[in-house]
Amino acid sequence: MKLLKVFTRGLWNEIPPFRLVLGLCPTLAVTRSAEDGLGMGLAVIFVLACSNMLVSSLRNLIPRQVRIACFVVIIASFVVVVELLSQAFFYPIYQSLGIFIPLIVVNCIILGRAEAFASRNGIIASGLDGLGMGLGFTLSLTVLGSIREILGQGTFFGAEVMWSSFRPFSFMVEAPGAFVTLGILLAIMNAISKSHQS
Amino acid sequence: MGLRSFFGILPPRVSYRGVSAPVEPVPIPEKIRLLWYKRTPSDLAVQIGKRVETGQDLARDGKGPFVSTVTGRVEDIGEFQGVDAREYLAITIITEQRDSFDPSLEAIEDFSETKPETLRAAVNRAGFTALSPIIRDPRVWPRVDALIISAMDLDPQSVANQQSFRDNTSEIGTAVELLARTTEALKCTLAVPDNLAGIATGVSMGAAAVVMVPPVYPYGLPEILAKKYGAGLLLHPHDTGFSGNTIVVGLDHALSMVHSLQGGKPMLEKTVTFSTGENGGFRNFRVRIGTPVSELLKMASVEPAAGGKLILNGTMRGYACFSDKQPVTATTESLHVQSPSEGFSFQDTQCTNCGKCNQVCPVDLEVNLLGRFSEYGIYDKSRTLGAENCIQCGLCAYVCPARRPLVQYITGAKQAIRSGLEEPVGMAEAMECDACGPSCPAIRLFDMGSDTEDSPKEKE
Amino acid sequence: MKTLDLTVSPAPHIHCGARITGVAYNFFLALLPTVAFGVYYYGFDAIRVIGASIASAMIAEAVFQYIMKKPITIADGSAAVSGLLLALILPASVPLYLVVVANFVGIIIAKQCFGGLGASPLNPVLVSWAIIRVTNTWAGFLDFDLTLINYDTGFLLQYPLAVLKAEGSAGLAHFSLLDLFLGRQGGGIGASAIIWLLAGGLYLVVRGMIRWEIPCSFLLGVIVVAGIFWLGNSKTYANPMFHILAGNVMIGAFFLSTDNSSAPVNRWGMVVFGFGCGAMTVVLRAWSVYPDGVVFACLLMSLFTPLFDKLRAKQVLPQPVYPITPATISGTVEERSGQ
Repeated sequence: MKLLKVFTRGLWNEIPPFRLVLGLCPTLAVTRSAEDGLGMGLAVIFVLACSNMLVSSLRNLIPRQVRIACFVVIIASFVVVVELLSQAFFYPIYQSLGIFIPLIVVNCIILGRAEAFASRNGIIASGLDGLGMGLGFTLSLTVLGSIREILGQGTFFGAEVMWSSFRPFSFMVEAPGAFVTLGILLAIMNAISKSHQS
Repeated sequence: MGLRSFFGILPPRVSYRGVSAPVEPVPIPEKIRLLWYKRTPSDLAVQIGKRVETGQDLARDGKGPFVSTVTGRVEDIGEFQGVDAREYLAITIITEQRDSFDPSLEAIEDFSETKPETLRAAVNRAGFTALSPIIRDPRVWPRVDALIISAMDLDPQSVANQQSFRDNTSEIGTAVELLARTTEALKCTLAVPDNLAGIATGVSMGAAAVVMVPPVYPYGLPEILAKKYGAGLLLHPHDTGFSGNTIVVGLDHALSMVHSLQGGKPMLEKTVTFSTGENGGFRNFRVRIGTPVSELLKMASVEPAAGGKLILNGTMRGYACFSDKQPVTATTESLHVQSPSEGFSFQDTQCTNCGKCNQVCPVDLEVNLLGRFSEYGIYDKSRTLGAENCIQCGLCAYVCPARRPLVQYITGAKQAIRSGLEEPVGMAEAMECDACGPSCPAIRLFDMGSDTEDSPKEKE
Repeated sequence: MKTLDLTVSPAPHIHCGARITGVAYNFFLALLPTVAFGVYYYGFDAIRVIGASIASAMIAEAVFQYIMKKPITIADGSAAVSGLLLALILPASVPLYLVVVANFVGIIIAKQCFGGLGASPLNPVLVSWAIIRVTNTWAGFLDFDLTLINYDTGFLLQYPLAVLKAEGSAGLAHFSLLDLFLGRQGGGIGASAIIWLLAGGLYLVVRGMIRWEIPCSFLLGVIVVAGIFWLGNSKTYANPMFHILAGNVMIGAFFLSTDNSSAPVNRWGMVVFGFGCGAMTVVLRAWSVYPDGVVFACLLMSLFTPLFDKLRAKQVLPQPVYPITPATISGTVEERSGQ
């Protein structure tokens, strides 16, 4: 029961970009399309779950003073794995994500979960937390990317979904469009949870 | 007044009307009510049922003078809520319709021969309360830098001082003489509205320098007169434009003082301008202090419309009466009967940032920001913007297209600053006076920086 | 005894009579000739765009305020003025969905999200226009030369700023200043009606609805900076008068940059703001990829408005003329107190 709670926490209550407002750099930069958002999210799930488990298993060996450096080394090794894998098997996504895959190393969510959760909890709980948080992150990025892609390019995962005479509103796939969409989604989430509370 | 013309090139102005209204005496009413602020019945030397004489001091020793303005029998001693919503001690007197004067008052023939101390005592005894705090304690008020006798009225709805100027030009010299000697002011100025300049030429004004003041609100306000022609306006401790104490006295008040001292009588009467409607019906009534405003309405045979207002001391800064039992006090300048259609109501709308208030503010405040900070209770910001410098002239609310109650917002901020956040130096003293509200005819503006020699703080 | 029915309220008890709606009504009155100009030359298309723009701006405001459970304030006219102004800087051929989207984004994101009338840091009209302009897929609708090709107005319908961008000042020979002044140029529905915009703007200044400082310093900024460019290289850069009479400068100076909530309220702040808008306009026209820079210039300078508002002159009350008449009866007070 407790483990289920750990897992589901990342899906709504502490969903990373919207609740914790962490990891905004990839959130804003790579959500030009749903596909990019999903790819980025999957990469983060893998890195987050694996690094959480490794950090958790090594938590008694890592000296407190240098823990951040150790965390970064652990995360970086998984990021390298992801980067090489995506280069080998998903080359188009690797190309469109570009610099943001290596930048997962310094993603606040991963470092934050390692510091706040994995270094204090057991391996299974940490793995579930990483999985949950990663799923939440993927979900957010995919939703954000879908909205921006549908309005800004008229497609959804590359397939035409709007009517034929639709002139895409390319403002949405520009940088300001990302901020506007994120702001509106944040407002809607806040409104929903406020109405739940009352 | 008021509505802007269709092609209003200039910003809206509240101008004085140079109307002449002869002073009409009002007979002594059957019943008067005298108000005394911050006192209890135990401070009185009389009880219910006792007979009092005109000029009799109703206060016990050491509590300052409280002079009866009629001869009659005390009917009631109780509380009364004044127009400014403060509780007053009220003494109701059934009058005898004639005066028998208290013998302890003495006439002073020649002011230039009399010592200032004697003059102060006499002015004090005659009941000129609005001046007495300055004169009563020479230790705290060692020096008066500027004395301004104003023939301007506080508000365009009042023509009492202007009428005094028209009627009594020959006596102005004596009034200047008396006040200059009483206050021992270093500089003496007579402020005359521009439109009455013709009357002023060739008349001796005593030792006073004469300044011509544009007949536009807010030039008649004591604060603005002090700022422009006196020793400067300083209310805010951060302000660097300090100079010193300025006393501003309305001409009508000054002339009453002269007549009282010369005749050996107390302060009895007050000229009150009665007006009604948008443009007029200006009449000057000379009434006993304590007369209820209902007598003025009866005299003018005007009945206020249902939902209308009775406004004391002008439409810009004045107070709306709670009832027509409100008596005329020493600080009452005018009574305006306003019909509901003439008034307007404030609205709870947000600021549109048009900046009209900044344009009209006579003390140069950023009212657009000040109003918003004060509205939301961010009083430390209000203070940095100089909320304490606001003189509540009401011009910002007068021009505000969103009809926001700006004066109330800023006054609220001022009170919060004064009572809670930080005690501005000297501000508490400024507000301690009994007689004067915002419409005090003798507003005192004084030094509060501790860097000056004459600062009362250092002397103590 | 009869009791009186009295009203009690705080001071002041009178009001000059101004209302928020008055500003909007005066804007409509001032823009009436410009609208008539647009309708005369572009016919039903102009009515279509103007109507859709005003309606969508008001609907956007009402919908947002309804969702947010706020009092609905579309009756104050500010949203309608925003809609009208946006329509006037768009070409008559623009598709309606573009107008609607622009108004929804401008009114909701730039105005209502920041707190509504008086609280928006940027003019919603400018934001609406800028959003269309930066949307690459839609920017073609704002190309005046392409979209206005089907209209027969009796004069050469060519956008002078596009010509300037493409050919330098040499290509401007057939634009006489009088033609530009009378509105015989391609451009927005109302933005090219220079003479009528000037008349409407002066009317607003006279009525006190906008302050004269911003338009004056705006035009001055254009003249000064365009003059510098022109003196430096008159082959590439146009003369200052051309810059004033072409494109959005006139509507920008009088109607777009003077938006209350995004412009400074103190005199010197306004002067610097207006001058900055004018200068930036010419710089953008000369060096940016966009033919006209008025909107972006105003948006940029609006961001500095809080800074400009710190520029304040000290004196407020005008010094009255006072001939001092020193009188003497018994010496001055100083003499007596010295004894």
